[in-house]
Formats: sequence, C-alpha cells, structure tokens
Amino acid sequence: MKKSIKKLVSIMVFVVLLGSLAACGKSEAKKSNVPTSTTTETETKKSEKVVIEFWHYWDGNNGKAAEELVKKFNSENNDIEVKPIFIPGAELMTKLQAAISSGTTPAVAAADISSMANLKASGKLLELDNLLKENNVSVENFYPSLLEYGRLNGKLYSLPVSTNNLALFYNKEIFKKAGLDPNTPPKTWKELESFCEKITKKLPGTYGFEFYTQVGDSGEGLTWQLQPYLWQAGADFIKDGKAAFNNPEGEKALTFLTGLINKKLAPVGSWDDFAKGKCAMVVDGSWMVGIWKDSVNFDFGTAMIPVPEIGKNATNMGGEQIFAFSKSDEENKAAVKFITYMVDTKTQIEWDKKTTFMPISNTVAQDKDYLEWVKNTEPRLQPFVEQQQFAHARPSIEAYPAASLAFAKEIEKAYYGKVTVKQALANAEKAVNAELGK
Amino acid sequence: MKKKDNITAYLFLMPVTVLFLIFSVIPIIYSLYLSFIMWNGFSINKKFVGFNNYVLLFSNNEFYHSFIITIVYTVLVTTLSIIIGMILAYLLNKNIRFRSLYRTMYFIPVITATAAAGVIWKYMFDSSQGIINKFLNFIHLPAVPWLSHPIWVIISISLVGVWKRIGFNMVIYISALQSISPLYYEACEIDGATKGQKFRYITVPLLKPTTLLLVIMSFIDSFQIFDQVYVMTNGGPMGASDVLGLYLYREGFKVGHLGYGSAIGWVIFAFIFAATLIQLKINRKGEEVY
Repeated sequence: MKKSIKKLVSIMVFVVLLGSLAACGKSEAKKSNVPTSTTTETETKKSEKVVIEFWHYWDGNNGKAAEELVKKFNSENNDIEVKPIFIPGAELMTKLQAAISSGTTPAVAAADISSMANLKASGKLLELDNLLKENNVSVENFYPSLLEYGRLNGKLYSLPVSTNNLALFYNKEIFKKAGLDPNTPPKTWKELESFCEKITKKLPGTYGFEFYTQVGDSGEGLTWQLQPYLWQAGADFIKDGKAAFNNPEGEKALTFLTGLINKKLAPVGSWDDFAKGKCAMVVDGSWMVGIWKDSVNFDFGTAMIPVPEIGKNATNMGGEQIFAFSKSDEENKAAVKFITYMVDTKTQIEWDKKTTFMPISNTVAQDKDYLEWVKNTEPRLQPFVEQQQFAHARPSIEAYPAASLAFAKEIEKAYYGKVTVKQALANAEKAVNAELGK
Repeated sequence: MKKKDNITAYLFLMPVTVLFLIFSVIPIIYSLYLSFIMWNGFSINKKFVGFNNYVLLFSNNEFYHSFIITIVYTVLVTTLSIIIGMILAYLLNKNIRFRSLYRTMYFIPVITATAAAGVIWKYMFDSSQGIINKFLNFIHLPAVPWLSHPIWVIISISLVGVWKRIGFNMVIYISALQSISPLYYEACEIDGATKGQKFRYITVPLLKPTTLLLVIMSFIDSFQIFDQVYVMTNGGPMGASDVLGLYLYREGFKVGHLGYGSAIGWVIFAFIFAATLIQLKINRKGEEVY
C-alpha cells in the first residue's frame, strides 16, 4: 500500500518535471485563437491571429516609445498581434545566440548595427528583398551607409530602424561660473583644451572634458568614443581588412586625448561625471538629449564635436537594425508587414520625436514637420542632425567585436600612462591585425 | 519484492538525474566539443582546430595574468575567511549575551545576493563619494583608491569575498566545535593549560577535518569568482582585477571566441580538480603522521 503511493508520487513528480521542461522549449505559439472582439462562432475563421514576438533592448523612455508604436500597429492590424519583448542590451546577443541554436527565435528583432555581421552569418535571417517589394517599400530612401549593415552577398537582411551619432554636450552653468560664454561651445581641439584649462583653474575639483577610458564589458565603449578623433585627424580604424590607425594621424588623435588626461583636464577611469555636474563637457550620443533633459539639474547645450586645426568633421554612427528570422510563410509575411510599419516615414517621425534618435532616411530628415519640431522643441538635436552627413560607419565584419576589444585593451594602457602613444598604437595595430587574420 | 523496491528508487532518482543530465552533463560535454572548434556562436561555419585553442591560451600573457590574479584572490579569501571564521566560531560558541544575534549578523552576508552586495560595496568603495573614504577623511587618514588602483583593487574584492564567506565558515565551525568532547578540555585544565594553549593544542587539531572541508570548498568557490567582480570593477582598472571567470565571459560571450572561452573553462576545471586532489593528499599524509 505504502509503496504504491510512493511510486505514484514519484511518477507524478517525474511527469510534472518533464512537462515543465517541454513547456520551456515551446514558448512561442504559432497561432492562437484570440478573439479580436466579441465574435460569434461563425466568425472564428476571421479571428485567427498570427502572433509574433518582437525582441528589442530599448529601455526607459525609448522602451515606452517602442511599445506605443507596437500597440498602434496591433490596433491597425486585426490579423496580426506583435508581442514586444524587452531584453537588456547586454543579454540580447547571448539570448539570440541561444535562440538560433535551439530554433526558438522570435519572428522579429532589433539589434545594434555592430551585431549585424554575426547575425547575418547565422544564415537564419529572412531575406527581405522580395517581401519588401510586395509591401511597396523602396529601399533607396534609407541612408546607404545604414543600409550597408543589412547586406550580405548582394541580398538584404535588415533595415535601419534608428540611428544616432556622437556630439559634444556642455554644462552651461559651469561655463558661466568659469567665465566662459554659455552660448559659445569650443569649435576646435585647441579651443576645447583652453576651455578645459580655464574651467579647472577657476573651479578646482571640476574636470573640463571626459571620454570613456575603460575596457569594461567588451571594449566597444572605449573604441567607439575614440574613433571620431581618428577619422577627424585623417586616420581610420580598419581599412581594406587591416588596422589603419598606426600612423602620424592616429598618433595626433591619441596624443590629443592622452594630453587632456596628463594635464588633469580629463579624468581617467571614471565616467558619468558630466551628469553629476562634476565635468563641464562630454561627447555622447543623441539619445542622451532625451535622457538628460529630464534627469540632470543643470542647463546644457550641444555642439558638433570640435575638430583639429587641420582636419575634418567626423562622428561615429550608432543605431539599431530591424530584421526577421525565417519562419512559416504566414509569420514571415506578418513580420515584414511589421518591419514595413516600423521603418515607415510616419512611424519614424513619431519615433524620433519620442526618443531623440536621428532620421534614418532622407524623407524623414527633410520632413517639414520633423525639422520644425527640432527647431522649436528640441534645438539641442540640431548639431546631431547636421552631423549625420559626417557620420562614419564602423566596419560590418564578423571579427569587429574581437578587434574592438583588442584595440581597447592596448589604448587603455596609454590612457593610464603605462605606455607611450606610439607604443600603444603599435601594440594595438598588432593585436587588431591578429584578430582580423583569424 | 526487491526488484519492485529498486524500481521505486529509480523513479525517485529519475527527476534529478534527468535535470542533471540536461543542465549539467550535456552542456559540459558540449563545451568540451566547443573547445576544439573555432566558432563565433552565430556563423554557419564551425572550424575544427584540434588543440589550437589550448595552444593559443597557454601562449597568451593575458591568461597567465588572469590566472595569477585569481590565485591571489583565492588564497587571500580562503585563508582569511577560515582564520576569521574559526575565531568567530570559537568566541560565539561561548555563553555570551546576544549570541544568536551575533551569529545572525555574521551569517547575513552569506545569504545576500552577490550581485546586490557587489553594487553596494562598489558605492562604499567609491574614492570620492564612498562612505569608507569619507570616514577615513573624517578621522584624518588619507583616502584609499580602493577600486582604482591595480593593487588595492585586488585587496578590495578579496575583502568583499572574505566578508561573504566568514558567516558560512563560522556556522560549520560552530557545529564542529560542539562535537568536541569537553573531556579533552577538562584533562588539559588538570594539566594546567592556559586558554591559548587549549585553543592551540585541542581546538585547532580537532577541527582539522572541518578545516580541510572548508579549504576545499572555499578554494573551489573562490576560484570561480565572477559576479562580484563583474559588478564591482568589470575587470578594471586596466585589467588589474580581470579574474579568469571574467576573462572567459568576455572572450566567450562578448567577442565571439566561443571555442577559446570553452578552453578557458576546461583549464579552470582541470586546475580546480588537480588542486583539490593535492589538498586531499596532503591531508592524508598528515593523518599518517599522527
């Protein structure tokens, strides 16, 4: 008697566990009979919805904006339901990697442009060319440099859904206290340095300028902040499959930055002093306009990144791409319909206003309504909009993340004064080329 | 009758065995396979490279750098947490007032989530705003660059590791202390031993099996450190706290060297395995002498 109960219990436990395991693997329902409204039985055929998942990493303000756009799409399309799923930025690629190998990918996802090379190489992305044509989307509208991230062997796998670039932010109140004109930000590297000197002299304990100096998670933070100076001085990061920064131009860029640290005008090792009001200037992305306008307790302005005396304008281009994973015909169609909606000019204008991201296409950039909004409501976006034409794209290659980390590790040593600028660049060149050769 | 019994036993073992297979054995074998290929986690191309990942690993200075840091951390945490844990257990095994309150206090860090504790310590260690440096300043001592100096950072993360382990060691030692027969102490007292001598010649030797267990557990645990350093320093400054766990994570998951990352994992495993065997052996030799 007792034994049979024992056995029964153990079998039950086992079955429950197996059941829960099976449930883990099948999180995505292909179809569900969610009634769209109070439907009668005769209408059940119509009410069959295609339910698809949309993975993204936009949080806070941007996340809210994304969910609002999805909600609008769902209300406009009775036959499709998109479920937005937020995944923290640091985890998205790991999650996608697991999803790809277990075949549980979402129908649609948005990822950083620098991740696209790896995603395309997975061979699991849906080819968009024909499906976009069916939806009357003309690809020519998008900026070519952004479109490049979606291409592999002449085929298109993703579209830009947002973009941004780096520009200078400055604390107007610190400027005033240091006796500087709060409406005249520095225009050149020399001006930047002399402004820093004035600020640190007048206000001890306050830094003049800050930039990202730590390797951190992936090295990309340091690398992407340094690249604009390389381009401005006339060097490059990777050119023709090889490191292209170990030259006098690259030296000029890195010397400028290490010089600021050596003269104690910029901090090393710390970050985010600008938001705390302890640093007067920082170079950061356009999305920070939207974040800082509500979260810092001082007035700030923006400007294009100061340029060297002999050099040119340049900034780094960031952003996300939207793409679909190849699934059933029905899901693919729904996915492309959703993508079409997300990159549409009307959606994009609403999106850019809410997130302070930059236009992804000429039609948005030249839209009267949008330009008016920038001018009247958020003039601090103006420098970013103007700079978009000087934005450089980071190379879209599979080895990029590894090259970026290798680069950051060597450059960090120069920031900390452990090696000279020349040594750092030579070591970084060797390390980057080693990664590119793998 | 006996056979039926066996079936019940197997059925009871089944759930855990299945979970163990799926979540431990299969991933372990898969990671061994991964350590022999070159793959970025996404690409359709997986290249078999034999032992190349291991060759690369052992010819990379960064690996040795991380290895040494991890060893320093492990040794610091293991010795300090065991010595302090033993002393605390000895003190809290006496009949003092608020005994259980003290025990709870020292045990709380053990049940605190490492990531949460790491974030709090990071704020406390902050060189300009942190409460620790503010206190040092208050009593006119110079500020310490806790997390921003290559040597201090190791000490800081080790301190947090010790803080997290003491309670656990203490609890195990307390239960071991209670199993020491008071007869030994009485015999000692008759011979005129002092308190210090009793601790040195009775308590410590009789705690030896417990100490060995704690050394091995602490060693295995500390050598795999990851989350605490990840939230506190992320390997910085300049890789000074770049422990093996973090190195593995960055290579394997952040920059797409999945095979190389797996190789690091297997080297960590092999090292812990070998070190544990040696520790056991040393202990057995000690027993023979007695």
